[in-house]
Order: sequence, then structure tokens, then C-alpha cells
Amino acid sequence: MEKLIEIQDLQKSFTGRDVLKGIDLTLNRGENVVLLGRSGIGKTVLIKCIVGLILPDSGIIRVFGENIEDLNDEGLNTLRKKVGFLFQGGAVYDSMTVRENLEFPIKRNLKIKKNKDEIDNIVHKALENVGLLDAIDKMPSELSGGMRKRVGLARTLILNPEIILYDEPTTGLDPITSKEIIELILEIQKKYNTSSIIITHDIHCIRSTANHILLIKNGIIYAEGTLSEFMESKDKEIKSYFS
Amino acid sequence: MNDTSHRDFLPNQPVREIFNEIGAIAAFSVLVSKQIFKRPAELPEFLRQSYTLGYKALPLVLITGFILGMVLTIQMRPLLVDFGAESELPGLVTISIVREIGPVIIALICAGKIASGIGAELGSMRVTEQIDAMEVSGTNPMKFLVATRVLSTTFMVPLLVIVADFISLIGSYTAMNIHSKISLSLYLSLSFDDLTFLDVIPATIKTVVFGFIIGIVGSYKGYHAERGTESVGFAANSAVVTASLAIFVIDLLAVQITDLISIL
Repeated sequence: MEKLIEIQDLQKSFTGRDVLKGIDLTLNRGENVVLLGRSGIGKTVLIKCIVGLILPDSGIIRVFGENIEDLNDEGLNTLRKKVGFLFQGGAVYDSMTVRENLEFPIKRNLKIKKNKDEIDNIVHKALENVGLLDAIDKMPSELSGGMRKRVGLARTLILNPEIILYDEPTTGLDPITSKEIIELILEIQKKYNTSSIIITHDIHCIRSTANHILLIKNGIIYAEGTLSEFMESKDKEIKSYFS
Repeated sequence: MNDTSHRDFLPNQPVREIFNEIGAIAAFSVLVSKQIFKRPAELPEFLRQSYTLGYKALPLVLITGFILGMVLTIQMRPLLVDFGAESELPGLVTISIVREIGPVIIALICAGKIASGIGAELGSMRVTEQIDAMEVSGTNPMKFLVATRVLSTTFMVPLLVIVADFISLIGSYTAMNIHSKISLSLYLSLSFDDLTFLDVIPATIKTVVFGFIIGIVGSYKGYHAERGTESVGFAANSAVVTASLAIFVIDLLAVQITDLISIL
């Protein structure tokens, strides 16, 4: 299996507090890896390290075989185009309309600035995928939490990434919207053949999406396995996530 | 006996923090200055920011400038009348405004309106991970968000000061006409008679530095806002306080330098 992300002995501390104390992780093509762990344990730090938003103290992060520490700004930007990131709150640009939010990465990355029709087509298609075509000219302030996440997802998809990193995609959403987001994640994976790392505490999300699960505790991988292995585990810590 | 007396002279924690902050802002300025000269030029964003930060501050600057000119004239007039030097009033007001009061007051207003606005906007973007999202989508936020704002304030604050200076003179002319009739042409002639390049040029250069500092401080505070909505308010507030203080310090230095130049 092709390894898209390979992390070895990743360590990161903040002001003397060790957050990650030696994490190993592998994401294979077509796979969904779910990261579990209590709040503040460093799951977001881990996925931010993957895209170079946070620099690790030590360890190796290889994405598409490239060590991100060896990449310059240009190399990192090229890599980032292949790795989408859905932030916890959607991170939709408040000062732009939904359309402008989606146009932003296209105009800055796809070098088709002058072809307005082509940009329009891409934006319409991305919004159709997330079922938000009606909101194209709305401002983010007019959108609900779920809609903002879907706009964030549409913006992530617009550059056709091969890997998507989801930071708690269903947190703070009602069960119906959560279900819609989960279905969207699965649909996107099927349609675009993406691989994902998903941070979630949502049991439905874990059950629906996980091929492989990693449980982080005290800065290390406490447990690792498939969904069925986790479901059958007698370990108290693991059971607490599935009860 | 161990000599520990020197410890008493070491700066305490708040003082050290102030120097750390100054150092961090200086390092940030260098980073931003490098970004300004990097490609792409981000011209549309620069123009958008110039409109947002400069043009939208214009009404406040116009009102302040007009009142400033009026108040200064009304306050100075009785004193000069007592000395029989009322004819010196336009010149005195003009020099005061152009050299000192115009640049400093308008810069302080811009610190209040613009630096706080930048601090709050970037702080909010930091807290809601919009800056991270921008970086992940292959855009350099230091260039796109910070450099464009700093460049805009560096251009717009001097322009706002020049406009405010002219409006102040109109305010002063209006105040002059409350007590005595004087034509606009005579007023302007008396105003500009004593004005030299040494009054105008250093004052204008000073406003460029004020503009740069307002942009840098606002951006620094917002860009480095810590997590949580509380930090957005703190970034805005801290941007105003720091920028205002920096304006006074720079003004003091500028006055000293101008003084030295005039002696030479």
C-alpha cells in the first residue's frame, strides 16, 4: 500500500509542557485514520504539524515521501495544495462572501485568474457537492455552524486534495447536520478517492468512517487498531469512547 | 559574603517584558518589511486596505482637523491680542499644526481607529483559524494580510495628516472670522509666510513613520493574539495603547533630530 503520510517519533512541547512525546502514524492511500483522545491532548497539534503550521521539536514527518522539514516555502505550498484541511469552525473568511471564499484558493493557486467562467464552474461544482449552491452570495455571518463547516469543506475540496485532514468535523452540530457531514465525508472519499485523518469524538463518525483508529493518551499512541478491535477491547480507556 | 547586590539593579519582570515586546515588534517589522518587497505585489488587497483603513477614517480626521484649527485659534487669540500681535496668529497656528499638532493628533486618532481595527480583525482571524486556513491554502498571510495593511497605513496616514492640516487652517480661518474680518487670501498669505521646508518635510517624514508604526503594532498584536475571544479585545486595546505610546516616543526623537538639523 502506498504510504501518503508517515510520521516517526514526533515530539512537540509548549512552554515546558510535553504535548506529543513520540507519535508514530501512517496513512495509506484510500484509508481513513481516526484520531481519538481527550481534549487538549495534542491531536490538532499533530495534524497541524503535518501541514507545517506548527514545527515539531523532533521526529520525521513525510508527506508523499517528502520530509516537510526539508521543504522551502514554495515546496511547502506545493505540498499543501495536495493536502486539504477542514478546521474545527470551518475557518471561513469573514470578510468575503461564500463565492469569494471559494474563489480565493483558486485564484491564488490554479493560475486561471482571467477565465471567470472556468472559476465560476469550479465554485458552483464545489458548492453543489456540499449542497450549498443557494448560499453562494451570502456572507459567513448569515450561515449556521453546519453551513460554515460545509463551506470550509467545499473550499478544501476546490484544489482537489489527495489527503484531507478533518479537525472535529461534527463537533457542535445537531445530530442531523452531523449525519449530513459524515455522509459528505464518505461521499467525497468515494468521489475523489481521498485519504483522510479525522479527529473526532463522535461515535457515529468513528463507526461510519474509520478504517484504522489511533488513541492518543499522555502524548503517546496508547492504542491502535481497526474499528472492530476497538469495539471488542476490554480496556477501560478504549471502552469509554464507545459506550 | 556573596555579592548579590547587582540583582537589585536587574530590571524586574514587567520591565523585561516591555523590552521583550519592543524586540519582538522590531523583529516583526523586519519580517514584514522583507515581505513588502517580495512578489506577488498584492496590489488589489493593498488598494482595498487603503480604502478601508484610509478613506473610511477620513470623516473622523476632517472633523477633528477642523475643530483642532478652531480651538487652537480661539485659545491663542486673546494672548496675542494682549501683545498686539494678532496678525501673527495665522502663522503661529499654521506652524503649530503643520509641525506638531496635526501629525501627532491625527496619528493618535489613526492609532485609535486603524490600529485597533487591524488588531481586532487579525486577532479574530487568528482565533478562528482563518490565518491558518490561508496559510494551508498556499497564501502567505504575512504578505497578504500584514504587509498590505502596513503599506496602506504607511501611505494613508501621511495623506490623512496633509488633508487634516488643510482642514485645520479652514477651521482656524473660520475662528478668526468670529472676532475679526479677514479675507481667505490674506489669511493664507499670513499662514504660509513663515512656513519653511524645515517645517513641512520633517513633519511629513514623521507621519510616514507614524503610519508604519500604526500598521506594524496593530498587525503584530492581532497576528499574535492567543486563543480565545477575549484575546481579540485585548489585541485591539493593546494595539491602541502601544501605538499611541510609540507615536509619542517617535515624535520626541523626530523633534530632537529636526532640532539638530536646524542647528546645522
